[in-house]
Amino acid sequence: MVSRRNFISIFIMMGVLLFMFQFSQVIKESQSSYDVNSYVREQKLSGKERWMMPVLSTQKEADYESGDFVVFLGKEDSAMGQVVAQWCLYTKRKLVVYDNYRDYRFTTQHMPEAILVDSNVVDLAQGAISFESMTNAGVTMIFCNLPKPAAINRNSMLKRLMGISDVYMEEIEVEGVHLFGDFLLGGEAFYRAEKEEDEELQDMDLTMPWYITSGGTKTYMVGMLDELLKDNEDKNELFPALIWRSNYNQGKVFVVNGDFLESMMGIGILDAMMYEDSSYDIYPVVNAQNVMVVNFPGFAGENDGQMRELYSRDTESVLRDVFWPTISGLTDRNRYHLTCLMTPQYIYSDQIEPSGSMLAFYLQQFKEFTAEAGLSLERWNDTTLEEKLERDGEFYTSLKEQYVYSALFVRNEDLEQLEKLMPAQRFLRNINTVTREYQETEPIVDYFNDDITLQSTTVEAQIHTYSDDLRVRCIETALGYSNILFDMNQVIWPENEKDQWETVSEKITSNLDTYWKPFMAFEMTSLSESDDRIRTFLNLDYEHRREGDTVYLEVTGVDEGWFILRIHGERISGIDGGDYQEIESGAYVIHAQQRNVEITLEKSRGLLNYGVE
Amino acid sequence: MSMVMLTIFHLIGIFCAYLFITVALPSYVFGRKLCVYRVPVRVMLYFLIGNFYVMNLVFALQLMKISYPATLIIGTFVPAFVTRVLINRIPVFKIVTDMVSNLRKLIGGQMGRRTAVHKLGKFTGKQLSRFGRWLGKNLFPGFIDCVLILAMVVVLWWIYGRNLIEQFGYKASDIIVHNYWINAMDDNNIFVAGVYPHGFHCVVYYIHAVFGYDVYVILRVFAFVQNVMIHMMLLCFLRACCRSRYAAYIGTGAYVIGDFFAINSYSRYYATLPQEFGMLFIFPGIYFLFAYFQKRKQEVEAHEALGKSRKKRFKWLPSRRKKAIEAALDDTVEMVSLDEPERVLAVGSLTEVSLEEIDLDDIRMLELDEELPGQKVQSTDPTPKRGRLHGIFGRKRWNRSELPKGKRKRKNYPKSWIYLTGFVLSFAMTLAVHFYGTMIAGVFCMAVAVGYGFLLFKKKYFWNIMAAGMISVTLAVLPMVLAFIGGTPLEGSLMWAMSIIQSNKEEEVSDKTVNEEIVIPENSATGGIAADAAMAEGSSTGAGTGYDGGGQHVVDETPKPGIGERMHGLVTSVVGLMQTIWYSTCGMLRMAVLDMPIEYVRWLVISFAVLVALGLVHRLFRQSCYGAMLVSAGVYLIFLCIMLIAGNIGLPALMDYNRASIYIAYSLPIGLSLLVDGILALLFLPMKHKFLQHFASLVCVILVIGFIVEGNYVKSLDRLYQLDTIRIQEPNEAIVCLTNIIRGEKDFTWTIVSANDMTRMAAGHGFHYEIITFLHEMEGANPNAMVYIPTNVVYFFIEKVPIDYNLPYSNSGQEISRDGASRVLPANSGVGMYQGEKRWIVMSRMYYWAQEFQRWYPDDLETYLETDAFVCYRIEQNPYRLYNMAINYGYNEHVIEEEE
Repeated sequence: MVSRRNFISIFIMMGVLLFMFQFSQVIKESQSSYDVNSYVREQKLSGKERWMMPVLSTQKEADYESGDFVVFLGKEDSAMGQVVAQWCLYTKRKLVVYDNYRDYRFTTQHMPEAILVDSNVVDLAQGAISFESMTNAGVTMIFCNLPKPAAINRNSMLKRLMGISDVYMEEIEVEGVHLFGDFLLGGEAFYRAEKEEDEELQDMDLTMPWYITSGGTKTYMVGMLDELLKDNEDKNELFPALIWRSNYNQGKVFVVNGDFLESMMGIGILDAMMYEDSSYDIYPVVNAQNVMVVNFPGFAGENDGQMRELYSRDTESVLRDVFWPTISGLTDRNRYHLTCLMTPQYIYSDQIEPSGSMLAFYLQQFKEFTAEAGLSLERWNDTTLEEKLERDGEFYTSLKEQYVYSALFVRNEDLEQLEKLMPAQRFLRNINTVTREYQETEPIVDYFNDDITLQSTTVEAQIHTYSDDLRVRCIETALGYSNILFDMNQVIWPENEKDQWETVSEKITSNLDTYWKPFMAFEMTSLSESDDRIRTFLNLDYEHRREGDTVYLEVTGVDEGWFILRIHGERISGIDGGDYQEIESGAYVIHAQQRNVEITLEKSRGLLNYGVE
Repeated sequence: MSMVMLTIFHLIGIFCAYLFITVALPSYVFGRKLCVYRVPVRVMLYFLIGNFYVMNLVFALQLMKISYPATLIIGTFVPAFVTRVLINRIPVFKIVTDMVSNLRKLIGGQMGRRTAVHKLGKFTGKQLSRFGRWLGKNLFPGFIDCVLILAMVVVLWWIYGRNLIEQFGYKASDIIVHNYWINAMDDNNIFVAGVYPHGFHCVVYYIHAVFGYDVYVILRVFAFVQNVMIHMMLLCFLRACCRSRYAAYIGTGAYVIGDFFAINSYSRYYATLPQEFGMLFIFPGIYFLFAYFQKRKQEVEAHEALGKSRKKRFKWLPSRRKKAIEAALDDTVEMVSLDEPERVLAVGSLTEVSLEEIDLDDIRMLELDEELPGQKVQSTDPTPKRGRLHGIFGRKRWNRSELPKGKRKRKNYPKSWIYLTGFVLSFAMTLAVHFYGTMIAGVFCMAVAVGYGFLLFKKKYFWNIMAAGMISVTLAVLPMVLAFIGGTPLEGSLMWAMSIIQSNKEEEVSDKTVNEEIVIPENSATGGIAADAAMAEGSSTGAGTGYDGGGQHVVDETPKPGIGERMHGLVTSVVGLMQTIWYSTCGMLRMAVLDMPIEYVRWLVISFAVLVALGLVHRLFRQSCYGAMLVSAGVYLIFLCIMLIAGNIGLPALMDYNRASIYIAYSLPIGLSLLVDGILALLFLPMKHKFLQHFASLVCVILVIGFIVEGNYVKSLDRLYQLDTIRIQEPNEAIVCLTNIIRGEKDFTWTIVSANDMTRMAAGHGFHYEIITFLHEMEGANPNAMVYIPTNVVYFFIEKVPIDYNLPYSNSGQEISRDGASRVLPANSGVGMYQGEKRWIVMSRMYYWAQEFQRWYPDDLETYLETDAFVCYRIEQNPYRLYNMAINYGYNEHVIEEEE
């Protein structure tokens, strides 16, 4: 028997415990402003004030000062032309395009910063002498791709100019690709499938001409071979070069053996080349790292049967109790600001209607885990975009939530139609940024219209192939930006074992933990935060110069901005007008908070430990 | 930190390491056994034991191919500890048991913490008190000695040591060869270049392996360490030999600061070289030979005296004990001295006499009327001396167990075999380090044979000495013989040395180029020498001696003269030969050894004879051993003079006069000190207390030093600075860069491209590439040429003002220039390509290559260090894609040809 006295004691203790646990939760819920999107800023920069690349008349190129513009010898509307144009837009360079090298009248009084040559358009053999004279004058040449090896082999002038000592083979299939460090951000990388399970990651083009570079060259990327042919064993220096630099008289010649500059990864390679070309380079970046979880959460139990079969619970429970803890854990561990792009339902013809009962829960959770809620326009193929917008509008209106949805995900094919339909949709009135899937020649970040920005995903979370990795490095180098797409449709509508959550979550966790480590200096953002930074990036203009050990940066058009500063063998010893974060040795993110920023540099290797005196 | 400070720290560290291993550790092991010897004798003994052990430990481990820091440390400290425990009968087991027991009590709470602390404090206090007593016993009585030694070290630093912090590089070109040999020992590859006396290399390797100093650092600074020790050994030798306390400082002081010597007689002290290291072991061995004769003579005399008085002395003892002791003595006197009571007891026990019945204190030390050279009698008997032998037994008989605590302590006395052992170690090490040291020691031994001839050829001395000599030679030669039997050929210079000894021709000697660098400074004395040499020549030929220039007898075809004429001719020949010797000696001494007027040199030579005469006078006063020592020293100096002029009088020239001059200069202080000491000892012979004699010697020290300072005979610093500049082997900046690179970069990730010395200096840390090879590989500017240096980082050492690498030329000191770069690149062989103008061409080419490379790779080639005379460039490269450094830098040969 329990005595009365003991009973009272136990009762009081239980009461205290109940109060302690429940009270904190009650307070937390009552104080939580989960229905407010804290990532949305009221005042935003507009696309009307964006930095516009001057339209340079080829006739007036002489008006520009030496080193103030870039010449592209190729077609403007080609893939390479678009990449070069986009690079110039992002780095605020002036661009002059010529279809033919003969049209370009090179003068030493008006030397461009660099001359980029598309060999698909320009006949290099014929222009070799002109290129040589340009190089002799000290201009930097970039051969964005190469003609057929036979054409190079025939032309010794071209070979000398490009620093090719021998065209060893016209075509060889390499085992992998080796990207050397201190070129793109992220350091050295080996794109070679050593293990069987890595073979699915190898999606690079491994067939290439084999050029052997001569003395005075510096190579940035090579093809890898298991064994060299016969008498040249154990000479890494003879591996087929993919990207290299040759020094020819007064100038430098960059050569790209491949089509790397025909996609958006080219902007990173061009930035890296410019950095290699000078003692320092500073250029604007977005400085945003996004992770989007698309189609999460869903509010309709459309695939309950399969979910019960796999996870012994309905879709709602699976999303809440299985998927969300893993996703939130990921966020917590890597400091990501997730953006969960919700879709009320995926199939609109199955009579299974969404229930908004869980929305509040998720919004609270998002708030707690520094995530943001956005909207996704994903749907089953039998539903038109217009129909989906209408049905979703009804759903969100019925919920009477105050939350401001600022980010929207849309498939590439719907982008054009969305532009037309969007103004009519009331629930989309607060949308500030639209994200879409990656496309090789489309801008990574841009204005969708004057009020809305357009962001492109850079890579998918579930799979990270070697090409993806190279692209990520290029885009990080050029923009300090990544936008990782994690599409939950794969796990909500699984087709095989690989689509099950345990497999997918493992891959995602491993990918996010591994491949983004070198870029942790960039800031983790939600899509709305990223939107602000993209506006800043696209609107700003800047000028820079170096005097002695000080780099002077002047930023105009915005109140603040982010830049990448790359320096050789030096480090920042002080900054005035902003702050900085080291990405890796010789690379820094500069946060300019004032119009004028002064960055003081010093030798990264200290003086001698033991001096002469 | 500056390089100067780092060098000083290195010097202090290496000095301490060397003293620790050669003096402190032997002192720790043998200290209690050898404490009966005087401090200089002990220091020499410890020093010999330490060096001998280190050399032979390294030899043994190297030959077994197991020489590593761990084995060396174990091989050093374990035997040291075990030996100490055994010879001092330390109850280790008991100590450990007590400690464990105390620890258990402490852990188990049976002993309070305060008690433990109290015990520990008591123990520490006891040790400190012992140390204090030791200091008081050894330091304060020798206060003046301490002051004088300290002053000597300071002066040595001023004269020789400063150079270490002014010129960081090597001071002789052959050090790099020794560096290579020592580096090879890291791979257990001793005798890498062939069989050679490796004693010096063993010691340097030992310091490198055990204490972690880089070989190049040791070779840079060890010169001063061995220099101090060379002077210390001279001082110890003289201090042990002289009867006046401070007479030793007269010769040593004059040698250290006096500007009486030709520069070439001490210029090699600036470099860490085996020959000079071998000098450490010459005089200690000779002292031990002196001491052996002295002590052995006492023992023999004691034995003989004991034999005569035995029956008379034993009368009062009970017959049973008398028999036992008599039997014991009969068995032992032949093998040990009588001053070993333990041994007597031990043998006594064999005669079935209980140990308890023979009292230790019943057997007293024989007190002898003659001291060891400069040594006090170790008297244990408080009773006054009564004649030559004071008896061997006391009056009271003690049972061992009844002895008072203090009296149970065993007594230890100097023994002749220890001196002989010292001689064996010393002589063996002269041979193990450098043959020249052995030659000089051999010459001194011959002089000792003359001086101590009255003892040497007696049975009880002769065979001991012969056996010792043979053992010492065997000990020294054994490692080399083993290696030779194992198939290692003789090293080139060894073959050369042997050929020199076999050769009788002076020309051959003088023309040979030794492996080691000899700096022969300009000497104004040449005129005087020429005069004396001419006189020697004139007297030789003018007198019509029967010897030609080469010492060969000339066959005379004329009819035989009569007896009178022949006698006259013989006398004339002898007189002529003596004249030749006299003038040659004075002339050669003047030329090679002494920088003083010829008259003084003649007086100096005469003083050698005076020293011999003084020794004979001492013998007349029954100071036979001391007199013999003086005679030996005088004869030794005369022998050295003969060795110096051997070529002139038709004898085989054992040694190049440049080398001989070093040893002669080093030996002259002996003559000076012993001369003063001999005179003082003679003057104060009747006096019982020697205080006045010591005081007089101190006055002499002050007078000599005062004379040198006041007479402006102090070593000229100007001349020394001049000497420094011609000795430079590497620019200071090169050593600074090398040190920074070794300490700043990971091992084997870097390469230095420089003129040859870094090959050996950087071994064990990084790689080296010859500049000349580097340039030759891109000669012709072939676009397909490939020069890859497969390390992450490459350093280029370029001298903007090329140094004179042992060979000045007409434009010495000129800066690199385009003119130099446009000259034809020297051939790629031998050291000659880095000498004279060729070095200027090579450095000019290298500089303009670097300029061009920097233009091509402005961000990859950085200036690591640049001064007016030197520049070091650093290139960091991708190990997966090395730079092809073969570029057309404008001066490649074909470019020049095209331009022409």
